[in-house]
Amino acid sequence: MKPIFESCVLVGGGVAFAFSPTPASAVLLGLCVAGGVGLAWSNRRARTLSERCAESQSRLEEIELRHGAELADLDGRLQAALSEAQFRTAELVEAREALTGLNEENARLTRDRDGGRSEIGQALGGLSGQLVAAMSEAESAVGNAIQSFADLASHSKDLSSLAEAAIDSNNEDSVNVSANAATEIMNRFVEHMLVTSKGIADSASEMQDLVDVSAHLTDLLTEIEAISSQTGLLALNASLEAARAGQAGMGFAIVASQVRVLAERAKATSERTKDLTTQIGTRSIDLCRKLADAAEESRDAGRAAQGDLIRLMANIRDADKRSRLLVAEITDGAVNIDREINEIVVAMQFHDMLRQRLEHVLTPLDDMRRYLLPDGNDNPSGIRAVGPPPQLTAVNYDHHEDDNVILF
Amino acid sequence: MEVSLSKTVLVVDDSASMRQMVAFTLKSAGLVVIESTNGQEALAKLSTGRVDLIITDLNMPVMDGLTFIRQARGKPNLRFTPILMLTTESQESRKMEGKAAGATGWIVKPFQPEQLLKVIQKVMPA
Repeated sequence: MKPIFESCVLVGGGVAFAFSPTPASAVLLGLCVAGGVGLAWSNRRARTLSERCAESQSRLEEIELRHGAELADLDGRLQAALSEAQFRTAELVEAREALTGLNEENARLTRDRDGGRSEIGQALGGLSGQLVAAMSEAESAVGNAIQSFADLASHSKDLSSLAEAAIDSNNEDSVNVSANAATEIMNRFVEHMLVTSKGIADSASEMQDLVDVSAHLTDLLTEIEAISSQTGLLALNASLEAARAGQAGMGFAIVASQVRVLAERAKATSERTKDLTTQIGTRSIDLCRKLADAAEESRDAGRAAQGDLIRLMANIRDADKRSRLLVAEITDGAVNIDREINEIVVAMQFHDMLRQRLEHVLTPLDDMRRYLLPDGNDNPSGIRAVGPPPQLTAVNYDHHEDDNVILF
Repeated sequence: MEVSLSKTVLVVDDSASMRQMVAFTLKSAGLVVIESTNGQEALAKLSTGRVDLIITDLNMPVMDGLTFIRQARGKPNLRFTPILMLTTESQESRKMEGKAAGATGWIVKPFQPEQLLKVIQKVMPA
């Protein structure tokens, strides 16, 4: 109705506006015309509606008569449906509210999940970094340890070689060779001293012979003195006989005088020789005694030196024996060190197995990190495991299997 | 144990400490040692020099031990060079793969230095 009325007002207003002298009168006139036309049209429309209502009422009554029970049932069902619809609507409202809440929760969880993924990814990156650092440090430490053990083995071998060379019986610098050489030299020296001592003793003996000769010479000189005295007496008698012969004995007297002079000179010379011989004898005896003393001292000294040398050599040989035992111990020690280092080499191989196991831990960590942080590096740690993971049974580094070597 | 002077051994392993341990054992026996970190690097070294024996790991990056042995056996100068596999793997199937590839022997880690030298004495030409 209202649109029709408004249309009529507009039509009426328009007609009035077209034929009115002023705008205000045109408006008023338009309103009046429109009101009249609208009212007339409304009355006509009301009548029409009233007629249709009556017709509908009539039809409704007819339908009620014809389908009353069915309508009542339908009405009941409609009411029930309405109630159900209201209930469902309320549920839908609740569900929508719940859905809104869930959406909000989901958004929050998504935010949390993204944050959590980032945190876990970063944590995995941290774990990977720690593993890589640990592997690198272990590699470096094991490498340094092996190098140190290699140096130790080398030094041990050098020491053992030096010690063996020092006591090598064929080495001219060895204690044993030096001791033998010293013994030989000292023996030669002592032998020489004993020979010298014997020579001195022999000289003393020969000197004693000279003393005996000297004594014999003194006897001869005494004999010569006696002969000289007898010769002097004969010369004196000859002089007396020459004087008694007178002129004829003058020449003989001169000869007898010269003979007496010669006899006196011979006697004097004999006495001087006797003195000298006596002195020689005395000095020879003294020298002989000194030579004998020297020979005895030399012999005693030589024998004492020989005894000292024998004891010294015995001490040196004992020291050499102890040195050899010590060197043998050093050599045994070097062999033991070598054996122990070989055991260490076996034990150190744990690192290879450890590295492989850690690579097989690191690789899935990197994969998880790449899944959680797809924008990150393709291979964050730079390490990928190669081959199947090692068996989970622990390897025994003390016990060595004999069947771990196969020749094809 | 002195093996033989002036013999050269190539050690191929991606683990530096493992190479160091094998090299220590071999050098103590008077052998000359050269090292590579994978099969490809080893093949490059073998193209410029001669070795008397090769000891290689199985699982290595870039080129694994089995591929390395197969390619080495394809070269005339390496056809009869002894190649020992030194690995942590001990499955029979893997050993058969090594044999088929041309390995001379298979040693499971951890190795004993004396045992390794005995094996080398057996397989290395005088």
